[in-house]
Amino acid sequence: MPGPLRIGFLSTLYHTSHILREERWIEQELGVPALWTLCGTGPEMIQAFSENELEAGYVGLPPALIGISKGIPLACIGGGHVEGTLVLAGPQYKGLEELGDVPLVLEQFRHCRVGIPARGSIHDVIFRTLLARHSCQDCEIVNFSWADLIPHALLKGEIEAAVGTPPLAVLCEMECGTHVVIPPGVLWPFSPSYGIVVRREILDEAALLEGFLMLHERACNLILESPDRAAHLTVRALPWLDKDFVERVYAVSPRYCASLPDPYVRSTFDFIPVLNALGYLDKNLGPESVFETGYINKVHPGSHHY
Amino acid sequence: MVKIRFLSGLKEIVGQNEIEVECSDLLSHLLEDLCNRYGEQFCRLLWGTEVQGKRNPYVKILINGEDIRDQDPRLAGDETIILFLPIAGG
Repeated sequence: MPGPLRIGFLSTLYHTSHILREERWIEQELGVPALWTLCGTGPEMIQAFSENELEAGYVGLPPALIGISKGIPLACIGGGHVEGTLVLAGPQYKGLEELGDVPLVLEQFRHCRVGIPARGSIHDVIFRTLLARHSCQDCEIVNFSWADLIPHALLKGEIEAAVGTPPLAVLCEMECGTHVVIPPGVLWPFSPSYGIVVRREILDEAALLEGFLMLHERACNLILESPDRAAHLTVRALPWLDKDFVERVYAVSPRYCASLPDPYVRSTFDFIPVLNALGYLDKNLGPESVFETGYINKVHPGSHHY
Repeated sequence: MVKIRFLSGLKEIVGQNEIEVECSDLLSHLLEDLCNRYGEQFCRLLWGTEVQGKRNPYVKILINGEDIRDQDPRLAGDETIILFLPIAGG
């Protein structure tokens, strides 16, 4: 590549971006300069792709599907994590463990406001689908450009519940005394919470992409097998954070892997009718228009470890 | 008055969630005032260590809800500014 590899990333603490960025693995091990851009949400990152500001990004698959359907030349070349969306609320609301049934949990939020990251984010899509499935349309969704604005909205009583990532759950628990009322595995099994997406123009950069995926896989394994060490590196990247906080986040949904196994691909494609129903897709998509599994299958052969 | 709200990563240093200040100046001048008020740790987070004179790109500044990125707008004096270091994911 003539210039630096421009990579979009989210603040989600269990994404390997924090480790690769802090440790400068791409520069040191691949000899390629990397230019990292922080985005507020997946849809914001897809917008940056559409403006040709990024070659690669860490993003949830629904925003990537929306982008591809609009003609942005993207391909998902690696996984990263599954089941990263949960529902949280204050102590006055009962959780699934107590009520035993998702519709009963949702019933509590009739005529309530629920805070969620941007429209079209994986969290937004999953929760809108859940509401539709359980005919709970009288719950008002309030979208936020940054999930970090949600704890303040909860404290001010502007929303009663929220949907988002494990870091949001830990942050809201600490700041607002909330708890998880629907855990991630229940909401959408194997939901592709993030993957590695690149512009199709760089798909012929075999050495770069294989090298990048090897580093990504190494960091996924570090988070899974040595969370203490991974948290240490993440706190070096984000020194205002507490290491215990990062480890608590890692433990909420410890399903980290770089591979793209069938359940990941199937779960991604389960979003297509949903995205169509929500009016988010401009055209239908087949697997070949979304995934390029050649590189990751070389880097990560064998069974996945999500 | 300009209302300034501090969220994750900054409110712990500042020790307050929200303040109000008189300001109809460039944002960068307001940030310098905040640095003087809240000290070295705040200043280090705000400006980072990479390039002198350039804000830490990890610090997000929303003015009336809009992410101003690396701009330095002149404030009218009635804005709501939110400063934070994102950790809650996308």
